[in-house]
Amino acid sequence: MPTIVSVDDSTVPGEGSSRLLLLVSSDNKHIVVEEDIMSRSRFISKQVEGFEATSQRHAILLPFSSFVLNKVIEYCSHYRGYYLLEDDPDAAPPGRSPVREWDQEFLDVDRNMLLRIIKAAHYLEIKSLVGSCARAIADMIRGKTTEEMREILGVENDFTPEEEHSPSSKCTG
Amino acid sequence: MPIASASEFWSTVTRDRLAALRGAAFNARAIASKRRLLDAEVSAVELSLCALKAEINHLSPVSHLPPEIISRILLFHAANDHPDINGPDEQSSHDRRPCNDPGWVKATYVCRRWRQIALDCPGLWNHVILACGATLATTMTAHAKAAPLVVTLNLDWASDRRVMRDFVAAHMHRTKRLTVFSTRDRFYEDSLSVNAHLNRPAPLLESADLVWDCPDDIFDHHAPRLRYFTLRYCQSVPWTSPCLLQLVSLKVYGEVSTHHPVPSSSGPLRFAELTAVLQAMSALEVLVLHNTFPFDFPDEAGPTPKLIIAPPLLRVFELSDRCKHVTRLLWHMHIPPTASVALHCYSRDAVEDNLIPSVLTALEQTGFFASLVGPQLTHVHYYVSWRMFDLRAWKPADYMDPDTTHNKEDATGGLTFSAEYSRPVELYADALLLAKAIHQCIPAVYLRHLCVDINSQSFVPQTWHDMLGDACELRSMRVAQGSAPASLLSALEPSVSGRLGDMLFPRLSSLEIVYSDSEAFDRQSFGKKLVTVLKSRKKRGAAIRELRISVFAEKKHVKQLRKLVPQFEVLDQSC
Repeated sequence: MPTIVSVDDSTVPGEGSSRLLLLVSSDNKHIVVEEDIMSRSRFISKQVEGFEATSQRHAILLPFSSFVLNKVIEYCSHYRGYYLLEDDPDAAPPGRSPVREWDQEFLDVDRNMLLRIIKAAHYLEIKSLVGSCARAIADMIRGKTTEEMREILGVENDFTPEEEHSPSSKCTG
Repeated sequence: MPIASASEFWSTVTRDRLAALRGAAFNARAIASKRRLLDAEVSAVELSLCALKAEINHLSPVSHLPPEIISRILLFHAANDHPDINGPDEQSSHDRRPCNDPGWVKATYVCRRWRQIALDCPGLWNHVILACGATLATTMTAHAKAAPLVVTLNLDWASDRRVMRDFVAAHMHRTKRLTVFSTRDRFYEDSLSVNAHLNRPAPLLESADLVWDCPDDIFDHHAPRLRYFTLRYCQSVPWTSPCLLQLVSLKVYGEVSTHHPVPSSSGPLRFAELTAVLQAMSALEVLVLHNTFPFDFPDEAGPTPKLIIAPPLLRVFELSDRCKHVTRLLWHMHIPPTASVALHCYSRDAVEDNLIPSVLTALEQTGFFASLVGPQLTHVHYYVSWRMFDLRAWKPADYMDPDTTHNKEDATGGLTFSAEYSRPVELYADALLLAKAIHQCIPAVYLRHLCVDINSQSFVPQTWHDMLGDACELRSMRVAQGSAPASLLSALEPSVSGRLGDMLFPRLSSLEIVYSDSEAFDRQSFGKKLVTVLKSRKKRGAAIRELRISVFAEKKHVKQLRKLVPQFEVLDQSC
C-alpha cells in the first residue's frame, strides 16, 4: 500500500478544469502531473476516486525513483487520450500484435532500467506498458541458449545436477 | 565475533572433512566404499553451491519481478517461437522442421524460479505440436491442466501418425484450435484417416485448418464456437454441415487435379445448394474460394434461382476458379463496398477463353465499374491459356499468338509482353492496368498491392511516376525478373523537395524484389542504391518495414539493410 500524506491546496493547484496530481518518488522528488495523463494507471485512478470520496487531495507516494517515474509519465503522456486495447479492462486479452514502433524506441534502455520500468508499470497497473516491457524482455532472450539467457537476465544456474540432467526435467521441470 | 572470510572458512571445512575421510584403501571393496563417500561429499557440496547460487539469484533484479510478469514474458517468448500461439495467424510455421523440444522451453531451464512459474502457467503448455513426439505432447497436455488446447499436427514430420491421429481424436473435446498440415499429395491416406476421426463433438473448437477432404459429419455437427475454417487440397467441402453457418472466415483451397477423387457421400453438389449455404453464412468476414467447384460440377440447365449472397460484414473476398464458375457465382454476389476483392480466373480451353468478358460483365453487375466509390478491386490475375493478352485494346479477338508475336508494347509504353512463355501465361495485371485498358474507372488511388512480373526493361523512373503516380495508398509491391528494379529504386527515391506528396508510393511498407542472378546488373551499385533509398524514405517518414530480396551478395549492404528494415529476408541464400 502506498503511503498517502495530506497536502494543502497550495501544493497541489488545479481544483478547476485542469486537475493536477502530486506524485512523490522514493527519492523524495515531487512531480506534478495532470490527472488526465495518469488516468491510464488504474492504481492512480483508484487513488483519485478515493480523493473524491473524502473531498481531500493528497500527494501519492510511490516506491520507485523519480527517474523511473518520469519514464512512466513520458509513456503516459505519449499515449494521452489514446485507446489502447490492453488497458481496457472489458476487452478480451490481446493476441499477438506487433510492438508499437514508439514503444520499441522508448524501451531501448538497459536491462536494469527495463526491469525497473516494468515493476513500476505493474505497481501502477498500466497493463499496456507491462505488456510492452514483457515483450521487450522476451525479445531480448529470443533465439538465445539457456546460458546466454542467464547472462542477459543476470541469474545463476541454481539447479542441482540431478534436476538439470534428469530425463524428467526435459520440458517438465 | 568477526566472521571468517569465505576462502578461510571453506578451506578449513574442506581440510577437516578430508582429514576425517582420509585413510588407505587397499582392496577393491574399500576403494569402492571410499568412492561412494567422496561422491556423497561432492553431492552435498553441489547442493550447498545451489543454495548459494539461489541466494545470488535473490539479489538479481529479475527475481524481484512478480510471477505474473515472468509468466507474461514466458508467454511472449513462446509466442515468438510459435507465431500463432495467441490467435489465428495467416503466417503459420508449417514448413519448419520441429525439434525435440519447442525452442521456448529453454527459458524454463534458466533457474528454479522460472521453471516453477512456467509449470504453474497452463497457457504456456497448451500449444501442442504433435510432430515433437507423443511423449512430449502428453507431458505438455498434462501441464496445460484444464486450458483448451492448440493442436498442430504436421504429417510431414510426425513419426507415428496413427498415435498422433488418436491423440487428436481423443482431445477434440478440449481443442480450441486445430491445424493439420501435410505437403500436397504426401500422406494423403494419413490425412484422410485423421479427418475421418474428426467426427467427434468439438465444443471448444474456434479454428480448424485441415488438409484434404473431410467427412460430411465433421465434428459430429457440433462445433458451436467454430469461426475460422480452412480446407486445403480438398475436392469436396462439407457444405451441408451446420458447423459452417456461424463462420467468420471460410477459406477453401481446392485441388484441381483428380488424382484422389473423393465422391461426396451426399452426392454431387448443386449450384443452388451452394448459393443457399453461402447465403446462410451471414457472419462471414473472409471468404476465399480457390477451385472450390469440383471438376465435374454440373452445368445445370435452365435458369438458376436468383439467390443473392450478401454477407454484410464481408471484408475479404477471393475467388479463383474457371471463368464460368467465377461468372456464375459473381452473378449471385452482393459485395459490400468496403470489401477487398481478388479474382483469379482461368480457362481450360479456347472455348472458355470467350467467357472472360462475362466475368467483367458480372463484375459490372455487382457495381464494380459503376462508380468510383465501390469495392476495392485489388488484384485481378488472368491466366490465359496458350495465348498472350493485350491490355491495350482488350477484346477476345485481339489475343496474340506467342509463336508469331515476340514483343508487343501496350498502351502504357512500358510493358512488354515477352513471347518466351510457352505455357499458360500468368499476367499480374493489377486493377489499375486492367482498368486503364478496359474501363478507365478504377483509379490508382485504390491500389493496395502491385505485382509487376512483366518484361519491361524499357521502364525508366518517369514511367513509374506516369503510370502509378496516383497510387498513394499502395502498401505492398512485388517486382520480379525483368521489371527493371533499378529504375524502380530511382523512382522510389524521394525528390529533392522532400515533400510526402511528391513521393512515389508514400505508404509503401512492404517491398519484394525477385531478380534472377543471370540478369546483367551491377549488384554492388544496386545494393548501395537500395540502402540510400530506404534511408532517405525512412528519414521522410515513409519507411519500408518489410523487405524481401532474392539476390544480395554484398555483406555490408545486408548488414545495413538489417538495421534499416525491421523485417528483412534474403529469399535465396544460395545466391
